[in-house]
Amino acid sequence: MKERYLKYGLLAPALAICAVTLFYPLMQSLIYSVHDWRMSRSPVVGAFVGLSNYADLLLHDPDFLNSAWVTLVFTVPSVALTIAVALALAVLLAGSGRLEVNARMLLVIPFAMSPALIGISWRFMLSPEFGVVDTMLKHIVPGLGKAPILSDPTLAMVALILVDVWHWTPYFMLTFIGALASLPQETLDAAQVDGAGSMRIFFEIVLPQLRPVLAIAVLLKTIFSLKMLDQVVTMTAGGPGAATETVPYLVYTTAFRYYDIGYASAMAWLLAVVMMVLALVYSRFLLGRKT
Amino acid sequence: MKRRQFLEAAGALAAAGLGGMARAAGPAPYGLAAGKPYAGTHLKLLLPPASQFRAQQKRLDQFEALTGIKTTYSYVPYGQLLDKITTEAVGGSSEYDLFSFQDSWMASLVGYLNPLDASIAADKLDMGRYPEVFREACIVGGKTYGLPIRAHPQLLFYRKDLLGEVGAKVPASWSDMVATAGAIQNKSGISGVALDYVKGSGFQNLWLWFNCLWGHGSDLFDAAGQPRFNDAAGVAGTQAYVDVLLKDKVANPGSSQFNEYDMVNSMAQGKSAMIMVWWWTYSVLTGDRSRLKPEQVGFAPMVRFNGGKSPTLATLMPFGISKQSRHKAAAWEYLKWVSNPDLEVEIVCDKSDPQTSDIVATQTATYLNDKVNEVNHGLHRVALESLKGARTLPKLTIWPEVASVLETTISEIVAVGKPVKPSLDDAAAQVARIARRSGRHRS
Repeated sequence: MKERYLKYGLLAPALAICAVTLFYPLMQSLIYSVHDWRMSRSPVVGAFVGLSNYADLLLHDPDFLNSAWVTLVFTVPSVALTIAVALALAVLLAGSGRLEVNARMLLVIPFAMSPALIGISWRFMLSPEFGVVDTMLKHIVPGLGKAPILSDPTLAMVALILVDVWHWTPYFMLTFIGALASLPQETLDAAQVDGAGSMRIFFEIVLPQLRPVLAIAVLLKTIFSLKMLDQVVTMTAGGPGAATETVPYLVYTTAFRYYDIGYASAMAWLLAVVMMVLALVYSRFLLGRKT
Repeated sequence: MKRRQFLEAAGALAAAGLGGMARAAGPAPYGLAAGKPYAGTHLKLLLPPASQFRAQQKRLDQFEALTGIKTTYSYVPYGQLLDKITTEAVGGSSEYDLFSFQDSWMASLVGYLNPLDASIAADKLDMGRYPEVFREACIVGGKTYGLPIRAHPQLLFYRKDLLGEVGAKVPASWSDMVATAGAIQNKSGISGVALDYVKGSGFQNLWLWFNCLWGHGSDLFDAAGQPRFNDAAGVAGTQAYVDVLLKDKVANPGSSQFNEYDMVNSMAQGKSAMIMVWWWTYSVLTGDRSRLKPEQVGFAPMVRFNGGKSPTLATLMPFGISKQSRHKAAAWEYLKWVSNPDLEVEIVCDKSDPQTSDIVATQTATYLNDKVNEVNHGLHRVALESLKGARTLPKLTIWPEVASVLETTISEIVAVGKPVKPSLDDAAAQVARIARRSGRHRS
C-alpha cells in the first residue's frame, strides 16, 4: 500500500511543475481562444465568442490560409533536406580519425548559434548592397551581382529553407553518428563477406536498422519546422509580401503586435492540434512497426 | 582637486544655486509648482534610446534642484517599446510614471494614459508653441494624452557634389526628384535615389507611400470609414511610389530589400545620391561612420506633389503620464520642465558631446531661432518648411493590423511584381475584414 502511494508521491513534484508551466497555460490559452480579447483595449478578457475565432480563421482569413500553405512549403523540403544531408554527413564522418573528429567539431558550430542571431547574420550576408554572398556571387557569376535574394518570393523561401537546414543539420548528424555507432558490426561484416557493395549495405542493412532513429528525427524536425519563427522574424519578416509568413509568425504578430490574444490563441491551438496529430501518426505508423 | 571632482562640485553648486534662485525669486520657472510640494518623489520614465533623451538625462539635476523630484530614465529599444508599455499597462504596474510612445500607438494606449487637458489648462501651458501638426498628433477623441517632446519632419537629403555635376536644381517635386535621380545615375553610375520597400521594419515602407497617396488626393479611409486607398487616386499614388524602382529604374536596386537603416547607409556609403527620410538622419550622414564629407550632404524640404501643395508626413514620440502612476502630479511637473523652450534650445545647440548631440526639436520658436540654425547649418528652418501642411499617421486602434496589410501589399507589388490595382483591392478587402472583426475602427 505504502509503495503504491510512494510512486505518486515521487511523481508529484514533476506533475506539479508540468501543471503550472504546461497544462495551466495551455488551458488558459484554450479559454482565450473562445473569447474576444484585445489587450490593447482592455487588460481583462472580453466576451465569450464560442468558435467564431476558429471559424474566422478557417473560412474567412486569407492570411491564415496563406501562412498554413507557406508553413507546409517550408516544412516538407526543410525536413527532407536536413535529414538527408545530416545522414550523408553522418555516414561520411562516423569514423574516429582526426579528420572526422575535427570536421564534426567544425560542423557543429551552426547549431551552437542562436536562431535569432542566425537570421540577423544571414539577412546582412544576403544584402544586395553590403552582403558577403552578393560579393561572392558577383565574382563567381558576374551577372548575378546585386541579386536581391530576400526580396524575391521564391529565393527568399529557398534561402530560409537552406539557412534552416544549415542550422539543424549538425544536431541530426550527431544523432545519426550515435545511431550508426550502435549498429551491430556483425551484420555489416556478414554482408561484406557475402560480397554486398557499400551502396547495397547502406540501403539494405544500415538504413532499415536506423529506422527508429530516423522516425524520431523526422518527427522532431517536422515539429521544429512547423514552429519556425526566429529566422522568419529576423531574416525575412514574413516577406517579401507574405511569401515566408509561417503560422507561428502570424501567431506572434497577431498576439504581440496587434494584441489580439483571443484570435492568436485560436491560431496557436490549430497549429498545436496539427502537431499532435502528426506526432500520433508518426508514432503509430513508424515507431509502431517492427524493425 | 582633480578636474572631475572640481566639475562635480561646480555642478552641485550651480544646481544648488538654481534651486536657491527658484526659492528666492518666488514663482518657480516654467510654471513649476512653487515650494517644491513633490520633493522626495522618484519618477521613472520608459523611453527609447536617443541622444536627445541622453541630453535631457544629463540635465536632470536642474529639474531636481528646482522641484526636489528625482527622475530615472529607463531605455528600451524602439522595437520592443510598445510591447513593454503594453505589458506594463495590462499588468497594472505602476513602476513607470511616464512613457514615450509613437503617435500612431496612441489610439490603442489611451486606456492606459492619463489625459493632460486639465493640467494644461490649470497651468496655462502654451500649446500654441508647437506646430499644429504636433499638437493635433497628441489628441485622441478630443483629449490630449501627451506633450510633443520628440518629433521628426521628412527632408530630402542629396549629394551636393553629384547634383552640381549634372547642373540640376534641388528637387522640389516628386517628378523633379525622379528626373534628377535619373540624370545623376546616368552621369555618375551611382544610384539616383534609395528607397525602403521591404516589410517588417515597423511599417517603414509606408512612410513615403503616404506622401504619394495624399499627394494624389487619396487617403486611407473615406468619410464613411471605408477603405479608399484603392480608388483611382490611390492607385496612381501607389504606382508613382513603386515606379521609381520598377519603371523609372532610378532607385538603388537593393531598395526592394532595404529598410530605413539600409537606405540611409546606402547614401552614407556613397552608393545612392538622394534619400527622403526623417531629419534626424542628418547626423548619420555627416557623422563619423559616413563616407561622405559634411559639405557633400545637402538637405531640402521634402518633395511634394500637386504644385507643392500636398502634405508631407511627420512622426512624433510624445511623452505621456501613465494612468497607473502614483505620482501623476509630480509627473506633470516633469513634463512642464522637460518641455520648456530653454531646455530644447540648449540641447540642440550643445555639440560638446557626440553622445548627447541632437538636432531634434518640436517648438516653432526653436525652428526659427537664429542661434539654433547657425549651429545646425539652417536645418531647422528647412524642417519647418517641410512641416507646412504636414500630417501624421492615422490614429486607429487597429493601426498595426491595417499597416501590416499595407506594408505586405507594397512589398508584394515591388518584389513579386503584382499589379497595383488588384493588390490594393485585395488589401482594401482585408482592411475591411479587420475593421469588421474589430467592430469599429476610427478612434
